[in-house]
Amino acid sequence: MMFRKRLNNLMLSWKSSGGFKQTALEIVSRGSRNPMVALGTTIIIVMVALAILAPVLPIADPTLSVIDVEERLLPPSGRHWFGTDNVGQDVFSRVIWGTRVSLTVASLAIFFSLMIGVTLGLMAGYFGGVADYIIAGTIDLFWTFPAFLLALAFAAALGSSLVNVILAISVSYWAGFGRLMRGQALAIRERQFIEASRALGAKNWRIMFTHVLPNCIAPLTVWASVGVADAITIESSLSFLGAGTPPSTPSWGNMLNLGMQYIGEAWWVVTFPGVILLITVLGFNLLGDGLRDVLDPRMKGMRR
Amino acid sequence: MMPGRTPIIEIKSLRTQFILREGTVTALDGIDLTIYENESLGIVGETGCGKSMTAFSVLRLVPSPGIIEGGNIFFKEPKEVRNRRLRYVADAQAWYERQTLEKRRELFATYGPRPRGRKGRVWRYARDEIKKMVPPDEAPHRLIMAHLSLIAKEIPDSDTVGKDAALCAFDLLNRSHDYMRGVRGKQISMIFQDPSTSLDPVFTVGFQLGEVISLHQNIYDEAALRKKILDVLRLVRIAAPESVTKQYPHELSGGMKQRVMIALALSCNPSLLIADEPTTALDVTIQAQVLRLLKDLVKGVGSSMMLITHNLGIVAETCDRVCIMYAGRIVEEAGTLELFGKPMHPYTQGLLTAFPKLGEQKEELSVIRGTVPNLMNPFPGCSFVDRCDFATDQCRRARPKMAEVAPGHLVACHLYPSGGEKDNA
Repeated sequence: MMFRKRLNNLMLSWKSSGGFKQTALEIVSRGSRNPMVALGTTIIIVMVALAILAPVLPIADPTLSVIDVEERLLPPSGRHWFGTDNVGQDVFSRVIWGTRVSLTVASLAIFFSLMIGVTLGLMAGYFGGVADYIIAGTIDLFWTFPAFLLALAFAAALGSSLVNVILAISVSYWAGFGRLMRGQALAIRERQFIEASRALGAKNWRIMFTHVLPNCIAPLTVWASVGVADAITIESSLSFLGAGTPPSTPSWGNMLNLGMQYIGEAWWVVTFPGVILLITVLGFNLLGDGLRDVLDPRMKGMRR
Repeated sequence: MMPGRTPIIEIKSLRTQFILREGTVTALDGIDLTIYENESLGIVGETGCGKSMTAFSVLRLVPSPGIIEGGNIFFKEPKEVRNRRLRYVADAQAWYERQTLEKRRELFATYGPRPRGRKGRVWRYARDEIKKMVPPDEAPHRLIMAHLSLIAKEIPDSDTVGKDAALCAFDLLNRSHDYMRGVRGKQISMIFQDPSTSLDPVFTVGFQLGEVISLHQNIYDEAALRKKILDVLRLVRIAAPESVTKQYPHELSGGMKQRVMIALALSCNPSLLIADEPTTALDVTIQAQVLRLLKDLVKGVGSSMMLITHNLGIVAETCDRVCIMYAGRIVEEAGTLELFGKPMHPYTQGLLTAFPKLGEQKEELSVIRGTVPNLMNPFPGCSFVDRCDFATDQCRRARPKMAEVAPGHLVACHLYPSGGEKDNA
């Protein structure tokens, strides 16, 4: 009940300031004027569309239960656009199905790390004291290990499955968000509008989530979109090393792993997944960089 | 002092301290202050004299490691409760005066100072520090309050007025955190010095106004809320309220931002508005506008105002009464005209002569020599002694008490006999 009341209050306040529609329109119009965001978003939309539409697209079955000797390692042609791999599976179809796996894993992993990192970082930065001591210590502990090695250790310990990969990436990646959020919260906590809203009777809860957090949205979004790119790379690397998704699952990392063995005789098996991976990562990185400018309300109306 | 007028807030012996590793800084050293209904009170003093700390103490938002060590802040106390409380305090005072010095010391050990605020490491440290530094003769207020709670035990439960009076139920310092949150913004509002940093940069003006209004007034109807927002923006004379609601703070000028801050503060018709140097960050031309607006609005809404400033000109224009603060104490209190006509305390006199007058030919601006004393080292005498031209031995020995030298004109200085003699009463 209390929660609904608060939510209601926020929605009303938002509506009275032009509402969601205005805010969204503004961001879209500002974003479309920024070439980096426009390009990044286009790439991501195409990739997401491919991932969603994979089952209905008129493409070959990405997995074959038996090795088709006739179709083995065929170069790109009209029938197999990206050629076939060592067991005769269509590389084009596998790349598209791989988008599904990679994007799901990356976005879920980043979502979970964002949730953990932001909540803990916000608490640590805003409350300070003992909470900060414990949380910042934990963050530093996780931060000590390179994210990839930690993910590798977790994935190896948990065994290879999609869920475990997501878990491994989240566990190793949240510390970055936590650290970022804590630093931001520490800085924003001291700003005068926080004091002002306290003097106007706001609770800690309200100040944290409606004043501190929104002020960190810009760096968080940037970090998150770059993080998705990072997570895709980690997922591929894990699969490449055999600690990620099971070998039969069509994922970019698996394909790279497999294709590497045939790089001398069949360059297409490793190149196409690699290029698509590169483009996707580039798309997220571009978006992240561009969003930093777009999300800053002070840049509103500026032409660039 | 001024019979017939209802006080909206009554501050008694308020002490706020900062417990630092290097020692304890007494930011407020026993502030007594009363603001009546529909009155503007100016608080004037140099930087670091405790003006803003008074405001933060009233809202109980003293930043850590600051602690409100003692005192009372009676807010909106009903008349009968207040009268009863004053009677009890008089009783307790009489009781206290009957005690011998040894007895007083003994009582002090038992009812010794307890800092208010969140209990924890800082709090315990503060308690020990305070015990060490406050000599019993300096703090009769605390023992009187302790006796008051003994009186409270003898009052039957049916006598609610008496209970409220003796237990200081209307003391903001006795209230819960939740209650205080309801008071802030709704009953006591504050305007900050720099409007450009006091508004959240990522939300539109409409959002921020909507948040405060719908929360404090429980308005959950969109049309009604919109109307309220526009009304309050019109109240602060913003020309195009519709478009301003959709603007972000950085799109507004300084004067506009301060108007929005005033709108935020006044949106719930608070009984008391605290304005902490509201015009310092503004252009001189805008200053006058904002001040006039504040003055009109406070009168119109029927609130009282506590105007904190270091500019005597602002006080002369806006306030009914003035308190001069120096080193965490109030040294003089009078009606504005009275104070400007007959300043009593050497510090006030210095302030007024340091203020350049229009059309006056002066080779050199006069200054008050010396600087504000370090508040970390308390000493028994008057805090102004080192800078005062009239300082005597007595000024070094004993701290002067506030005394009425003319109707409504109080001053804490040994130069005025009635002020000096009441020492250690």
